[in-house]
Amino acid sequence: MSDSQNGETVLRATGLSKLFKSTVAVDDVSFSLKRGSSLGVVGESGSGKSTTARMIVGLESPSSGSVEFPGATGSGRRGRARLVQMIFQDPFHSFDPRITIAEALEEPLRLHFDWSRERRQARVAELLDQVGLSTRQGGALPRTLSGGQRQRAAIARALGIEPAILVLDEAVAALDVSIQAQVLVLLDNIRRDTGMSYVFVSHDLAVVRYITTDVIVMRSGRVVEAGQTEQVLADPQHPYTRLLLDSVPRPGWDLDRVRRGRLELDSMKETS
Amino acid sequence: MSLDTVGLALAGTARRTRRRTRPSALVVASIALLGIVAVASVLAPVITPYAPDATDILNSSAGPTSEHLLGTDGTGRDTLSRLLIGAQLSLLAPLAVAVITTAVGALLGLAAARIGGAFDMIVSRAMDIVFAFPTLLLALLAVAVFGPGLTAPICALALGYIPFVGRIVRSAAIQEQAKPYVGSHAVMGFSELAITVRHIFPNIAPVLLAQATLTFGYAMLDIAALSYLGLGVQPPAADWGSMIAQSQSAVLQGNLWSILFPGMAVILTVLAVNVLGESLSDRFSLASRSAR
Ligand SMILES: Nc1ncnc2c1ncn2[C@@H]1O[C@H](COP(=O)(O)OP(=O)(O)O)[C@@H](O)[C@H]1O
Ligand SMILES: [Mg+2]
Repeated sequence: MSDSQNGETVLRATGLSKLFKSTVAVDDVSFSLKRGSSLGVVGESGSGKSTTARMIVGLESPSSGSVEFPGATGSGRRGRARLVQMIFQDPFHSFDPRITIAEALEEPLRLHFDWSRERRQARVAELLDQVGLSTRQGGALPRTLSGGQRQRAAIARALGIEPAILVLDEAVAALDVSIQAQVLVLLDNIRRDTGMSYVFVSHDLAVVRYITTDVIVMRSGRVVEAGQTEQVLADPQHPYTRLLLDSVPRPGWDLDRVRRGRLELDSMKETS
Repeated sequence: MSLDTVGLALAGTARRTRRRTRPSALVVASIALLGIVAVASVLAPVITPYAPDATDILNSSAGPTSEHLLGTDGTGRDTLSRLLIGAQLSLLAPLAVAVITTAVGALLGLAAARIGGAFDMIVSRAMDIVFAFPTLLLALLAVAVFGPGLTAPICALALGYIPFVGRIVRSAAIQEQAKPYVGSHAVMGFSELAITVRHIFPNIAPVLLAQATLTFGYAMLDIAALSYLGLGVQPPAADWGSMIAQSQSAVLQGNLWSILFPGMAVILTVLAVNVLGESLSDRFSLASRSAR
């Protein structure tokens, strides 16, 4: 999956930091994203992944540092929307409960494109088809769909805006394993077909291994390791990355190694 | 288990599931009563048996008779006719209060929740100050300043009730805007105003409807009280409150009839409105609980 290395940079985060009162949620995070590539952001709960994602889409403003979209022309909220869209962990609450899935998909089309009603509805049908939802499911209210169907609808809604970048914050974490696989395959196909770039936030290393080309490992708001996904996961340099890898239950899994990793990390903290 | 008990058990479940979606008999009765009162008030000029200010001195302070179905008051005016004509003012004045209160309360509550910060603080404190004032006292003050009539009390009551609606709308909007769909719409490029108007407002509208209904009930009672004190509706116009006030002399002469009917009209209408309002607000809190 390293075919992406030759694309131009579509997103550059430089020295991103975010303070909530006295909590340092994100601390001096920098990375860049090339067209058609997929950046994994991994780390345990509370490591600042969601805050980083929210700063990329503009839902939080950085306390310091910047998010740039090189080559972008649009400005303001509408302009940014054409550049970057986000899929949230909870697909249920990312829809207005009162309107049907098809209406929810049509709404952003009306905002961003100067199309006729027929053209918008044709596009909605196309989007539904792309993520494997039927017309009947499109006419349904969000609460009548399953979690996986809603998440696919959320993906379709974001795709309609044709962003250059899609930020996914634990987008498959709430789904059953078999549904997870479906959505991941869908996402991977979309990336190959459209050249869209992903920022893929996850605590699940198996998922990150499948869907991302590059990865940054976050701990307590800082990036402790960054590189190509294959390389980082095969030969982790930082003890925290090793610990994350060791924490995944698999054949030959050793709880003692996890414990030793924790101890090693804790002793590092004291000396630093 | 016999077939009969199975049937009974099934009937029981059916009734229980139906109760959740269908309004109770009390609510249906309330809606019917309000419908009748509303229709009667609209048709009043056509269906009144007598002119509301025509006096029948020979039959004054009378109980129900075949000539005067609900009797007459101390000056011999037909109670049924006055009740029907009085329904117009009795319903219109609280309706005006409910409309003003709901519109302004919704606007303030939504703006406070959505704009937040210093604006929210100022609006919330202002509402707290008005909230601390007894509404009826506010209306009395307005009448003292602007003289009797309905306009001053309508405005004063609306002002007094605005904090009730404003606070409820504000907290409903704060709860609503914390939902992730608000963030996802911002990411999709929609302005805060568009999100407020197209998504947050429609989602809290049921709360608003319930509050408007309850406000109507309170306003009706307060206006009746003002009219009873001679500060609201001025003669020769009549509403139910002023009818109660004017029948006091008849009561002193031993005729309870002329106070019974306007009193009943106020009590039953307010009860019906409150039953409806409570059921609407219950329904909404049930709906929001099951959606969570
Ligand atoms: N809105 C907020 N207000 C205060 N603290 C927050 C807020 N959002 C996140 N945090 C804190 O910032 C840290 C990082 O959170 P988050 O970015 O959600 O981590 P992750 O997504 O990796 O679990 C946590 O300590 C969290 O408690
Ligand atoms: Mg998170």
